[in-house]
Amino acid sequence: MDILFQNNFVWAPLLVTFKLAIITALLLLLLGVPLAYWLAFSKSKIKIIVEVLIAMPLVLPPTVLGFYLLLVFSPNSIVGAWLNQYFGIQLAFSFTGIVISSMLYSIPFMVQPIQNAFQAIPKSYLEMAAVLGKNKIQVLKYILLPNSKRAVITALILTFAHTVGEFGVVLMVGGSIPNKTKVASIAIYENVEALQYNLAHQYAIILFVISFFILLSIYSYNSYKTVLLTSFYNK
Amino acid sequence: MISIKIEKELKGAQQNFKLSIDETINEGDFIGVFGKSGSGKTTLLRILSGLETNLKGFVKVGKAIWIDSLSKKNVSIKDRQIGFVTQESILFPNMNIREQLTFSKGKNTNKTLLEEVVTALEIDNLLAVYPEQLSGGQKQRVCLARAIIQEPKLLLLDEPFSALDYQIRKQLIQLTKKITKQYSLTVFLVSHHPSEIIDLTNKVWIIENGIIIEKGIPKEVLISHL
Repeated sequence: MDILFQNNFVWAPLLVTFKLAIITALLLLLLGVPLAYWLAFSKSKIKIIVEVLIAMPLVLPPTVLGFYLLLVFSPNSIVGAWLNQYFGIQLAFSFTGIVISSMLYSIPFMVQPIQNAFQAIPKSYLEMAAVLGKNKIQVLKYILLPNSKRAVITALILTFAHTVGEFGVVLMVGGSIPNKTKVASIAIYENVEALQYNLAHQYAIILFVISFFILLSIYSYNSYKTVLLTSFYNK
Repeated sequence: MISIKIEKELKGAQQNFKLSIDETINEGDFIGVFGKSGSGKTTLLRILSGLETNLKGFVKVGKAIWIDSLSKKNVSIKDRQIGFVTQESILFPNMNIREQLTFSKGKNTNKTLLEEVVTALEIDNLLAVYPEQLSGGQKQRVCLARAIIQEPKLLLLDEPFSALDYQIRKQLIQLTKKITKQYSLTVFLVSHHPSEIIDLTNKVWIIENGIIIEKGIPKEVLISHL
C-alpha cells in the first residue's frame, strides 16, 4: 500500500470515478427496467429505431458521442440555454453533465441483458399472471424481475464496470476539473503525458485490480448458479 | 345462466375457418368440449378467459356482460375471475407453493378454502416447496388448487390430464370430480379422451372446424360418435 502514498498521489480521481459509476448504475437501473420492458413487449413501429439508438454506444467512438453531447449541453444550444435559463443548470464541464453522458454511453449494458431476460420468460407465465388478476406493473414486479434477477445483477455490475473504464465521453463533456470531473482514467492519461509513469501506474493498478474483481464476481455468481442448476438436474 | 354467442376467424392447418358458438348453459354445468386438434377448442377457452380478443358477439355470465362487440365492451381479464388450468403446468419458478396459491388474491385469500382445497388435493405437505421440486402430477394438482382458490366464476380446464401417466391421471380426475362438485363450479373441460368427458361432465359439445356438430349427454353423444 505504501506505493499509493508516494509522490503526488491523490485519491480524488478515484473517488470521482466510483461516485460516477455508482450514480450512473443506479439511475440507469431505474431508467433501464421500464425501457427494457417496453422493448421486450412493445409492438410499436419505432421500437427498432429505439433499439438501434440504444445499441449505438457499442459501435460509436466515445468522442463522437462526447462531441455531440458537448454541443447539446453548451449554453449556446437550445437545450443548454433552456436548462440554464429556467433551472440554472449548466451541464457542460459539470459532474451532472458527466453522469448524463455516462448513462447514455452505458445504456446498452443495462438495457440489453434485462430485455433479453424478459423476452426469455415464457409467454404462458405472463398470460397466467393476467388470468390470476395481475396488471402489467404487478407482472413486472412479481414475475419478470424476480425471474430475471441474474440478468439485472449482471447488468448492474457491467454498467458500473463500464463507467469505471470510461474515458473519451467524460473527457469531452467534463474536461478534467480536479475533484469534479477528473476521473481515474483521465488522471492516468495526464500523468503519462507528463511522463509521471509512477503516478499513472498507481491509478492503473487500482483500476486493474478493481475491474478484475468485478468481473470475477460476475463469473463466480453465474457459475455458482450454473453449478446449482446442474446439480439439480443431475439428481 | 351463461350465454355465449361468438364468432372469430381462425387460421387452420389446411384452410381458415370460423369459430362460431351459440349456446346457453346453466351455472354449475360441467361442459366437455371434444374434437380434433385445431378445431377451435382451446381458442374457445382463451376467448372466455379474455386472452383472445378481436371477435364478434357477446358473452354474458349471470347478469354481467363480459363481451359485447356491438358496444365494444370487453371486460378485462382480471375482472372476469377465471380459473385456468392448461396441459403444461404453469407455475412461477420464483414462488413456493403457498405463494402460488395466494398470488391471485394476496391477503384476501379465503384461508378456510385454501386449507380445504390443499387437503382435498393432497398437497398440504408441499406448501413450502418450489415448483422445480414437484412431480408432474403434483404440479397439476397445485395448478388446479390455485384455480379453485381464486373462487372462479368459470373454471377452464384445457387438457389438464393429458401430460400425466395413467395412475396419476385417474387419481387427479377423481379429485377434480370431487372438488368441482363440492364447490358447485361451472367448468369447461377440453379433452381428447372420451372417458374423461364421460366421467366428469354433464354435457358435451363436439366441435369440428369451429362449429358444434353434436351436443348432449356425454355418454350418449360420445358413444354414437365413436
